[in-house]
Amino acid sequence: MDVINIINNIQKIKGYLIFFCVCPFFMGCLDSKKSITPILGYENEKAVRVSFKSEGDITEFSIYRSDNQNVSILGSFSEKEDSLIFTPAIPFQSGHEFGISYQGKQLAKFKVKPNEVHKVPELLAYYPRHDTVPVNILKSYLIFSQPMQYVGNPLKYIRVFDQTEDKEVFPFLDLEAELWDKDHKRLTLWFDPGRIKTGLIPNTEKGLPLKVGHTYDIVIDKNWKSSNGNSLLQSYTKTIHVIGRDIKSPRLDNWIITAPQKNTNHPIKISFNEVLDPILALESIKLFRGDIPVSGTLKPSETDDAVLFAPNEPWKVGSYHLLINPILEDLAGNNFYHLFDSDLGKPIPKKEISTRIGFEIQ
Amino acid sequence: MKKPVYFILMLAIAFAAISAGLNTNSNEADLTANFTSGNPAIESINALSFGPEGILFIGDSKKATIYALDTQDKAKKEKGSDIRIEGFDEKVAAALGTTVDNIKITDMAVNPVSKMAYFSISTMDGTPVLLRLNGENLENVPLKEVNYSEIKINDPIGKDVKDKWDRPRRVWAISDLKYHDGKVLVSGLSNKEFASTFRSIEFPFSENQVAASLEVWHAAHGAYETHAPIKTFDVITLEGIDYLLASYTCTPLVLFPLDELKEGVHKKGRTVAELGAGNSPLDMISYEKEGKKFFLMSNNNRPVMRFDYTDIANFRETLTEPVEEFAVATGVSYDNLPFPHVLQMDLLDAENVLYMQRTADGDLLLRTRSTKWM
Repeated sequence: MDVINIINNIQKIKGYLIFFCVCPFFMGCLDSKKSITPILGYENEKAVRVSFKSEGDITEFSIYRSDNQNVSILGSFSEKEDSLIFTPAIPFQSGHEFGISYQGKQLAKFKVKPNEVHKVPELLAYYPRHDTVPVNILKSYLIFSQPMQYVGNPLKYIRVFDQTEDKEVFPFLDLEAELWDKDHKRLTLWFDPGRIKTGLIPNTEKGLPLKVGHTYDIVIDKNWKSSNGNSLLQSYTKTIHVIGRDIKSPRLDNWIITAPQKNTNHPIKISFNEVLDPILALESIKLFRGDIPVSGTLKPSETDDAVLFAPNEPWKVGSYHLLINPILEDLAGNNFYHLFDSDLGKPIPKKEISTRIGFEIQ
Repeated sequence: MKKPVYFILMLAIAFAAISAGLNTNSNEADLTANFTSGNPAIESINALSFGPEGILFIGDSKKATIYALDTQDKAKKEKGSDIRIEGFDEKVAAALGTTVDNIKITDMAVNPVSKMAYFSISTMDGTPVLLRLNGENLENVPLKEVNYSEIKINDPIGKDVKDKWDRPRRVWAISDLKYHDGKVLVSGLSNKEFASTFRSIEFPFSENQVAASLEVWHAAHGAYETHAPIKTFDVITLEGIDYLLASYTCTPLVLFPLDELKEGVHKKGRTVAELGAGNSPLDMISYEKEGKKFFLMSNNNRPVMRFDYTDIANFRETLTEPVEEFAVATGVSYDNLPFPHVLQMDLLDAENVLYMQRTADGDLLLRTRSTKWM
């Protein structure tokens, strides 16, 4: 074998090496003209992933919104069998079109279905439902049918008009931290406590958030959106009439229990003889037979001055009792121990309060 | 004789270096020893703060839980990159495939190790997002398959009471969160009882958490206010003592010695400044310039205020007189810096601050600035 042959063989080997190294690269490349069929995956009516059958380098794919093609959406790719799955950092926005590209060339488009109309949110209740409130009312609750949006300031959608003086007023405390319940359906609104507490700067400068004898319209704007982006069904107006200051702690000896008949599931009525915080009331009253809790459903009365407890099992003849958590408050934030607007400079006398009320089913 | 001495010296240096390395590693291992891998199921992100070794503390109001997340972001840098991004909220929204009206940037924190900025984003449908700015690019920081530990914030009315009444856990609206000297400090507000509590939680997390209720003197009518929620706070050291420096709506600035905030203690703070009504503080940071320490406070209706530590240390009084005139400030002196509407601030490195500002034309600007000009 001469030297030239050796060189020729080496060149042939190099050629084969180049062929075997480069060919798979081209084979691995995706034909950008080949169409793919994206399949959207929904969870709780949110488009949380898109999958498609494709080959090619996973790092060369890009998902973008059709009206902003220059920006790739953040998320993660994974492979399952012969499909690629893209999970965006947040669900694909409903009603919008998105695209899939490979090495900058568009492969497919997909559209996320719009929100369903029946998911339009409603304001179910404004607590207190009572129309007459004390001037030192501390809080209100809004109850919605759907989880509401997690961005923006709720006060942007709540306007208060003083009918008596014919002007807009701002009685609610503007908190950066919005006080929603876990489901984002119940919002707690505080009337500015700094204006309610006598002697604090906001109280001395601006006075009480509401005025005695005035009538106010609290308007909930229909542009407030649910978490799926649908606006409220309509605007809502709650009208309240303001009376004098509530300067009395609630008293258990004012409560009246209306016991139902034995062997029925009729609810027991627990009347407070005044309006108490209806949400706290539901969490602060427990019913027992001996040491055993009685299971059932507790709901506020229409006027928030009572609660009704319907047992799951029929009432039996014998002794029952209620246990009341003494942190239960009236609308002005007064609890069984002290008033909300009490002078902290003076010692608060300690009260012995029985939190137990017994009754008999006969 | 020189050679053995040199050899022993080198051996000692090598041993010291190895020991130091071992110590560092063992400290690091200690901090993440009780971490687990998996999905912490974070439901909301209200506050962020970095601890050591790239550990990010996340406050989740919805679950009333603090998470410690191992970001694995430990590549040390002495200096952060210069940043100037206009339309930062639009950039974030576009990266998430949505629009500005569907997002809210809830907090910002710079990793003191890597000098990279992290942002928590709340979205319309409630999906929490954690983003990191790497150069000009935003990166999604996964929240599902992570190495983490967590601690629930104790119910403000006590475990026994909660168990007895079987009441659902409160949403604990976390207003601020800071890591300081082995402890995570948390201020917040319950969605039920209107009471402000300050919590100090040992890290690595154990069952130890201390809750103290704080009283603040509002300079009017000799009234102490127990119920005002802390909006933002920092820890400052004055004459060798660590103080909680808290600010409240409307806008008192109050000092509490940190070691006196103990379980069940009801502590009265010393009000050192009333910074004007009609205002709410947003963020606080401390920094050092030319050997002097300062702290900055941003506000929703005032420009960024700069305080000199020495002025606070020298202010021995407690404000007890009412402020008669609307919006007048009193107490420790401060300078107004020409930066209004600063929403977020953090130290980028020893010489630069990163801040997010809403400009007069409505643009959201993210930028760095030398402390020389702050």
